[in-house]
Amino acid sequence: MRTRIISLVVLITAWWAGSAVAGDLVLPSPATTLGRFIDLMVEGRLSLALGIGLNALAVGGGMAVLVGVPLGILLGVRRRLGSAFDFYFSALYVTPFSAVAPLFVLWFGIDAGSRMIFIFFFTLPQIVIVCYQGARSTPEGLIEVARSFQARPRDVFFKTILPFEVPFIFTALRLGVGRAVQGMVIAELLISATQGLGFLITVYSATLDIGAVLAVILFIMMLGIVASMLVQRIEDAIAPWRHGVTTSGEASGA
Amino acid sequence: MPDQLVKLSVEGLHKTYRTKRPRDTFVRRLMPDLNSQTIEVVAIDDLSLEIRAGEFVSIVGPSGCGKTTALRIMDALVPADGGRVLINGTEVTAPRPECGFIFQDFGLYPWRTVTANVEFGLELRGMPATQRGQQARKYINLVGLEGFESHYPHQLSGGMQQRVGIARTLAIEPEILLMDEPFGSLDALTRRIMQFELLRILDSQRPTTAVFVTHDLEEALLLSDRVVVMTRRPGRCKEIVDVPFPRPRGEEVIDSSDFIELRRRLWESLREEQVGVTDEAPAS
Repeated sequence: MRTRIISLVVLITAWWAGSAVAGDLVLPSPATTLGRFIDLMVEGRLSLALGIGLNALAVGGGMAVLVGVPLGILLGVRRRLGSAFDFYFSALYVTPFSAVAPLFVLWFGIDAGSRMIFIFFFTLPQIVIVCYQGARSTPEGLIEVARSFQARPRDVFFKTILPFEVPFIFTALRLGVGRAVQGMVIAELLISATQGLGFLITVYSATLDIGAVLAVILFIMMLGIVASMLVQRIEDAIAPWRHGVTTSGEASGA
Repeated sequence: MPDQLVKLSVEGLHKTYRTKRPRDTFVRRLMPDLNSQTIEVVAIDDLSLEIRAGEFVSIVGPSGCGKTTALRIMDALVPADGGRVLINGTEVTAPRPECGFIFQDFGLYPWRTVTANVEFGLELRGMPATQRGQQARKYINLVGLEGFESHYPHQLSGGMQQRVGIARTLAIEPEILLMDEPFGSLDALTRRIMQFELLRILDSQRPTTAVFVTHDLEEALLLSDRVVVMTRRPGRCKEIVDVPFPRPRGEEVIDSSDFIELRRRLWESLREEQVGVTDEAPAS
């Protein structure tokens, strides 16, 4: 926690110095940005814009989880299926979605449904890839233990592969939430630029209200941090054994 | 020996490992027919053993001699290429409920507590939860882990983790215990303590038949009724040494002149085999 505070202080100081050099109009200082942030909060613009986007976020992101988690596990467990299809998700992951957005307008229109589909496809590959990797990396040794106790194939799946997968599912959720928020904003910028947080950014950019633009972006960042902390909390409650596991190579939260 | 019945027999076992030789891509492009060249390594060649009911037999041999492979074939965890394994007179084709396997790296489930790990095999057999709990408690107490029931494996030391592994396997009450260097990854002090713990535990579980793979000669002599020495790869049975010390065995056995003499004999037998085994031999 202390290191986080120190890094934050350094960052804000640098921002302040940069702003002093470039001028408040080009790069608003932290104080100006905070002022605009408070204004937008008080006026209720941020929460209103978020509320509009949230629906598409929940449906699109939720569907990506419901489809992506089982799909990733299936590809990981059925090796031949995995090697036949895994590269499509790697391809989808690096697809420049902002360039594809006009096609979504063409195919699905500009309403909330179109944004949901966009968020779904934007989030899906991230979730599939992480769950796929998890299912594939179940240690052979643990599967062998189950076999030595005469486990049937379904026991091997439900008592070895699936529990091993749990931390990967949470990692997928944590990364997926961030990805879905990004997808929401991109969709609001490029698909239906009439409402939402993306729309606010468009409007304030056009009027050169850089402080407000930064305030909206900060708000989106905070959303991402809060959401991923929430997922972490749930994970700590459900999978407390994870802190001792070194298989995923990812350190647990401080 | 309480019983001279043959419990487990291994007849003419043969195992060959095939691996693809990696080729660099340039050569592969020039000579595509070299692509799938395989290397064959004969791990076990005509291994036969008879293990009697209630007997503790250790298998020792130079690294890469196929002793672990032989043990895994006995539990049908890997298939043999020739020969067969019989348990109580019937041929083994899939892991058998009579057999309990104890793994070198413990093989504990990190998401299960000590109790849940010990209950694992019972769960698979469909034992009701209350009965399962009682059975698990009995074996947790037997291996000396009372008070650690709700710990996760990562909260335990290596020795304690293997105690969980032993309890988990004993809980299904197997007739035959197959142990693959179960103390191989423990430090010397813990290993010595665990050897005497295993003696104590098995004395209370008699008659359990046990096959124990190790490369620690002292460990083999301390625990066993007979020690099988395997030849270097391709592995087969070189000689079988009887270990006459009465049970229960205590610390004093190790220092007795008979023990030291047997250890010297085993060492000489093994050293002949170790000559010519290169460092790059794959793990057994």
